[in-house]
Amino acid sequence: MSTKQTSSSVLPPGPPINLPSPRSRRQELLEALLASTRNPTHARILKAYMTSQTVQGAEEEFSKIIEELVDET
Amino acid sequence: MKLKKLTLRGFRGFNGERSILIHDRLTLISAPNSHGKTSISEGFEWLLYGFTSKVATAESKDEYKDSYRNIHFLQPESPSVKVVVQDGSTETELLAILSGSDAVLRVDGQVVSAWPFADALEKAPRPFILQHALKDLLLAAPVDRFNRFAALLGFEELTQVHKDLMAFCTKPPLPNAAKSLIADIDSLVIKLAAAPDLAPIAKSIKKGHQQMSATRALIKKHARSLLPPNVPDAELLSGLLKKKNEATAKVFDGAVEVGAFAPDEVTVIDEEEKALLTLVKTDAVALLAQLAKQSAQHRIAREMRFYAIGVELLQEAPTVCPFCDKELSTADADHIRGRHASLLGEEQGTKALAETQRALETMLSDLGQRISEYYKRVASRTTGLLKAKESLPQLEALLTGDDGANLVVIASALQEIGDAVSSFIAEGKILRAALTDVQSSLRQPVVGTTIGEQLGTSLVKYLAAGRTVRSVIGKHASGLDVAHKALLDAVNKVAGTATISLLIELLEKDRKIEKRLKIAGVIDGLKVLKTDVDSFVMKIMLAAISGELAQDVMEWYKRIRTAGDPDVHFAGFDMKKTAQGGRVQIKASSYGKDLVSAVSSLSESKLNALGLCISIAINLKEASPFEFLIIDDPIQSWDRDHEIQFIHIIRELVERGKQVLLLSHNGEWIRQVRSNCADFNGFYYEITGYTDDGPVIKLLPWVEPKQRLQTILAIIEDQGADNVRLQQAEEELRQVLHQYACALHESVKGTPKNPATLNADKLRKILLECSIPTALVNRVMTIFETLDDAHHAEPGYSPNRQKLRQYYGTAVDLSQAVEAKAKEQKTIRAVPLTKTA
Repeated sequence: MSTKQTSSSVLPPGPPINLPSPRSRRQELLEALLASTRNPTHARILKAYMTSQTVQGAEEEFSKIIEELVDET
Repeated sequence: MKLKKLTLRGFRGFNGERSILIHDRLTLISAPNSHGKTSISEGFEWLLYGFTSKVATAESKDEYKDSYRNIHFLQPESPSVKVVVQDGSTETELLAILSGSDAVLRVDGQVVSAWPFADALEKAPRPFILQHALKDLLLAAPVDRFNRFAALLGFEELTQVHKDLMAFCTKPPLPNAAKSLIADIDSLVIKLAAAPDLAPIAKSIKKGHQQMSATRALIKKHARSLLPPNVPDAELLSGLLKKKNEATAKVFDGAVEVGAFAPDEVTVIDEEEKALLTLVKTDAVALLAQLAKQSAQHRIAREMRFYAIGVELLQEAPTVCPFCDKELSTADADHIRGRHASLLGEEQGTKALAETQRALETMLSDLGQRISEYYKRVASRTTGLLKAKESLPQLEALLTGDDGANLVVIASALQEIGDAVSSFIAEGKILRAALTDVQSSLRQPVVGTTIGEQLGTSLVKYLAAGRTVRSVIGKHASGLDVAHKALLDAVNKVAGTATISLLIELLEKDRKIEKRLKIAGVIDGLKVLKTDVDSFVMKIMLAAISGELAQDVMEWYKRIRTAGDPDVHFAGFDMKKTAQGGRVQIKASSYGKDLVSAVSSLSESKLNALGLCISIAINLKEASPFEFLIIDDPIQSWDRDHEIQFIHIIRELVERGKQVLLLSHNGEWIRQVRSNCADFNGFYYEITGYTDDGPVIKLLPWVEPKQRLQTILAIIEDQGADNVRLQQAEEELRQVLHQYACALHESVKGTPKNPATLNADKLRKILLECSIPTALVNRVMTIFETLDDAHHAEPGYSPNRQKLRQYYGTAVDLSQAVEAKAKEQKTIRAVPLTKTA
């Protein structure tokens, strides 16, 4: 039996967020995650992920963001 | 929702159909290992969720492929699980029939796409406590444990979101244009880093977009150092270019690169080729054919002009022939006028001819222009390269040593591309000639389609030559690109313009560098998103597993603990951050000191107890439409004290309203459960054997009838027994009479009956059919009259002790009559009463 002592929780403090209830549905989870995001690019990615309900949606939005940067005049 | 009845057919360990009734409060199933016990809990799981936790958590799904179907179950029949559930007073039959790897669902016989409570299935805790799942949960690798805890807490969607976004943030997909831009700028930065005087610029670029202003200032500072003083910013690039060109022109003035066709360029050229072919082979040919048809109009048009002049002259001298000046008869004058009028009627045809001619002229003019544009698109990029043919001696002088191979590449490309372009030009000349032929023939009276066909043939050959040029360019483009760069390096080396060239490239690619750094910023930002998502998921999980849930788990855990247990125990939950993300940590303590983790410190029996407590706490804490709880083989590696403790927990679950279905391999422990929960009068099944048809299931008495008679007598003789105890004696009477009736039926008729399904009328019928004397039957029925009245009595009702004594005597008489009948029948059928005595 090991008696080595554990360190306490190492959760990053971060900004306070309204956590969804334990059995919230995907949409509620993502809305809470979105509400805790300050970065507009991340918000776009998360919204696309929410809307499409697939990671492909997030990937497509990310590609669009990068293409906009490449095509920027 | 409670369970009423389960029927399995061809599913897992069940081949022939088996049904079991589920008691409203507590049902016990005892069976040795490998006798189909777990197939029962799996049947419920599969019916509700479409899979079993065994299969869902298996490392190899292949090993479980097609395992739902019993190996002995005959094709083409389909395995099925049927469960009758009760919600309030409504009973519903749920039937799942295995179809391929899916199930066809029926509710009261009607096919449905999902269960009516599908939403609750997703949200509510799973009403199962399964030994194999508990072990998997606690002993799983940390990453799996996180996911399995999440599943237990109903967080599948959270883990999916976590998994999706972690994967996305770790490897985001980049569009090709961005990849090419990144490669271009990164290669420039490598060259800068290798140039000692420009290395600080490379360092500044690497610091990112926020450093862009400083980077620009640094580039300008270096550029200025190479130009006369006071050159304005706007003229830095042109100044550097001028200086570089002056220096390099003395060494070599030209280029050997030929850019490859980009995919969008290829598309445009391909479409233009198709359009040109359609224009000539369809549109132009159609117009030429129309022109041929209209050929007669040429003569009509000329005649019309001729007679129009005649009519005009006749107006001035009506008696003189306008064509020969002789005297004109009235008839001749009328002929001229009539012929003119007649020709005017055909004017429409001549107009159509003119329109066709104009349309063809426009089309051919457009064709000529498009042929020129096509040439430019395909071959103009070769001009610089082909010009370099004249400078081969210079190239030989510059590309020496290791660069000699590039010279070979250039020479080969010059040869092949040069030949292809020459051929393309030659075909172009032929096409031009064919085009001119068609254009010049348009005003002639007779036009055949031959010249149109010649034009089409020439165009096909011309386009084929164009495709050859494209092909050889594609073949040599990348080799020439390398050779060109080597040549530039060589030229810069000889001309001393390496630094100035890099500065020019920096100034020319200023916007590209900025975009590259912005893209890097967005990609770097995904690391922040990844951390945010991970932190968010950890917070939710921690909130879910700590607080009330942890307290609940601790409360249940304390109830399983025994006084003699060493003080090494579960101490709550925590989340631990690792490189892969958050992990659920199960804490433990030993005599007040925190241990590394429960998994490494607690014994298997304590881990088992902890798993049970987590499942129980979640099932009682979370709202659920399921009032039942299926507990499969909960006690493993436990000592007797802990087993007894857990019986108290089962009692409490039932008393708190849970309908419990408990399965165990431990028959002795099940006997103790019945003994400690005797007043529940639940159902007790024993799996007594197993064949290729499936398990042999027997319904056995919850409490032996003789033991019940002893209990009744003890209550009657206990003068201190209160109303509650006396009412218990009445209930025991009902149970024992039912049991004796069923035992009688089995010994006389040879078929078992379930005591729980009897009522007074059915019981009377059995007694009479099995030849119990009518007088005794009537006495038994008198007991039921009292018991039925008692059943509907007010809460303060007090049973009559004297009557109870009398009824006890009747029950004893019935027991003796049943035993006598059994002997009389000389039946050696296994009677449950004697088997479990």
